[in-house]
This record gives sequence, structure tokens and C-alpha cells, in this order.
Amino acid sequence: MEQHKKPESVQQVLTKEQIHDLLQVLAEKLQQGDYIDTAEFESIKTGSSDNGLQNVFKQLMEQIAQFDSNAALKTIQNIEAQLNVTINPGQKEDIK
Amino acid sequence: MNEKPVILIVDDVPTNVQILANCLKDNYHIKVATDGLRCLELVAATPTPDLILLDIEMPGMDGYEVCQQLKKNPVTQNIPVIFVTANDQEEDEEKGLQLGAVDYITKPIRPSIVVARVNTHITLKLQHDKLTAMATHDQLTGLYNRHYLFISANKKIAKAKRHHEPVSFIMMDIDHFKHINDNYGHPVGDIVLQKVATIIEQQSRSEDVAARFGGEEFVILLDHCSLMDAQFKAEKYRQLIEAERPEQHVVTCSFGVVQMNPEGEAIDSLIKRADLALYQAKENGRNQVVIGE
Ligand SMILES: [Mg+2]
Repeated sequence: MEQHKKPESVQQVLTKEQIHDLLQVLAEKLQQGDYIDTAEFESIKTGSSDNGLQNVFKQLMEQIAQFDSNAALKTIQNIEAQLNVTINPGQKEDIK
Repeated sequence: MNEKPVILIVDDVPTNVQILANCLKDNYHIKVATDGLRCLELVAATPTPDLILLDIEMPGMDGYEVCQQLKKNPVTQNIPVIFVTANDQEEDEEKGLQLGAVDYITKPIRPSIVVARVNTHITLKLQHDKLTAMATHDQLTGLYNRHYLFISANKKIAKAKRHHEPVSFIMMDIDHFKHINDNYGHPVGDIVLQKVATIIEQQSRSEDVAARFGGEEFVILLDHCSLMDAQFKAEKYRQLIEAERPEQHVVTCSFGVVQMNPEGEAIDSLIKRADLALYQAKENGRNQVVIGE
């Protein structure tokens, strides 16, 4: 994995809502077997000011880059528990 | 709705998947499986892949076995498979092609070769899909054609008989269609046909077979549908068509509705009985639904 280093000043902390939305998108893609371009989700790596959470986000992106969908989905569930938000990867509604 | 063709990449080595995905992601919707079982799972889900890039050496089910499974299943057997593999012996390639793969690419992966071959096979696949659609659909209305009705009806009727499920059949005909064509011209006649077809399509369930049977005649084969439900449906079509007024003209239809004999019944017989009921509807003054004997 190459390092996408960004200057500190550009890094932004995401709101809980934004994190929730991003995780929701990722969970759906993982369930459906869609290829995830991790470069498009860089913002999530630095998405939290909480160090512990930031590490979990990094771990998640690593799992996604390794196409380890099951582990990534588990990580999303853990984040969900930590953030106390609800992600519904199981609800594969209309993909059309 | 996915506009881009879908490519499923199956490889147990993440680096290989990344290389393939990187050279294809701009033009294709990419799906990924890192083992054979997941591949079969994704193939069964929508959207169905238009092409599969399949590694051979994988833990568990190998690529050959995956390919065999895909080719055995009528739903997946037409999805082109390209093996992408480190196995570069002649007999490996021969085996792969004998199993039904359309192409065989050896590793190390050269992106430009992969892209060129994928583009070729995707083009062929989409042309094949188009031809299939043309062979089974009516060009003017987009509904199924008569040919497809007969193919699917035999399967549906056999299945319904096995599971003791009701099948109903509606035959309908646009009233005084010749008058419309003669007085307003064929382009207006075509619009009327299309409007009627759209109403039929919109009111149909995905499992229904709605077909243009002849000039201004349409049929709908409804499985899991009782005679009463079919009658209700036909009445709904009748009302919607009457209310539609394509090109400001009042257009009505007459309907014959029958239910398959629970002991089983050939499609020809269903058509004959529905046609008689339809004839009765015309005799009774048109714009109505008649249940057949
Ligand atoms: Mg391998």
C-alpha cells in the first residue's frame, strides 16, 4: 500500500453523520462484492480526532485493500458499536 | 441501474486483483471475489457479470472447478470466462479452453493486453445479448414476441403442473384497430400499439410473460394466478387503456381470460380457449372481459 500523506492542515475531522454515511456506503459495497478504490475513501483514515478510532479506520482501509470483506465488515460493526450509530449492511435492498 | 458492463475479478492474491481492477475500473463496474465460492455467490446476485476474469490456482475450489460450475448452470453458462493465470503450459491452456473459457491470459499481467482482450470479449457479449433480446422481443412494443411466449409457456406450464399452482392466460385485442390505421395512418396505429404495450408492461409482474401475439393482439401468461385474479387484472388493463386516449383517440380492448386445467394443458389449448372468450367479448359489443369455458 502506498502512503498518501497529506499535510496536517488539510486533514479534517468528519462528523459522526459523515462517518456513518461513509461506512454505510462501504458496507453496501462490501456486501455486494463491489471493488472499492481505497483512494476514494482516504478522508476516513483521518476522519476522527480519536486516536483509537483513527487506528481502526486505518485497519479498515487495509482490510479493504486486501479484499478481506468479512474482516472489513466486522471492523465496520465494531466502529458502529464505538460510535453508537447503526449501519445496516445486511439490508441489501434494491440495487437497481 | 448500472450502465457500465460488469466485470468480476476472481483471484486469491490481492496484488493481482489491484492490477486488474486498476486497468479496468474506469470503463467497467468491477466486482471482486478472492475465492471460488464467493465468485459463485456474486454471479448469482444482480447485476450479473458480463465477464469473469478467473484465476486458476486458488485455495479451496480452483478456477477450473469454478468454470465447470458456471458452465453447468443455464443461468451462468453464457457469461464469458477468461482465465488469468500463472499456469503457462500448453495443456493448462487447452484444459481451460476446453472447459468453455473464451480466452486465456498468462501472468505476469500486462495491463494493455488484458484491457484489449477484455474490451473484445465485452463487445461480443453485449452484441450477443442484443441479438438474444431481438430474437425474443417485439421490436415495436418491446414486449416479448410470439416465439418467446411458446418457449417460456411450456416451461411455466410444466412447473405449475408439478407444483399444483394455478396459471391463467389473458388474450386481448385492440377494438377497431383497422379503423385507427385507416383513418389516422400507421404512425398513429404504432403509437396506439406502444401505449397499450406500456400499460400491459407497467401492470405486469416480472414473472408474467406479456407478449405481442400478432398485429393488434396481445397475450399475458400469468403463473401463480387464479382465474379470479386474472379477470381482475384484465379488467384493470381494460379501464387503464380506455382512460389512456393515445393521440386524443378513444382506444378500447376486448379480453378473453382462461385458467389452465389443473391436470395440465398445452399452450395451444389455452390460446384456443382464450381466443374463443375473446371472440365472445367482441360479439357482446367489445371493450369488455369475458371468462372462457
Ligand atoms: Mg492464485
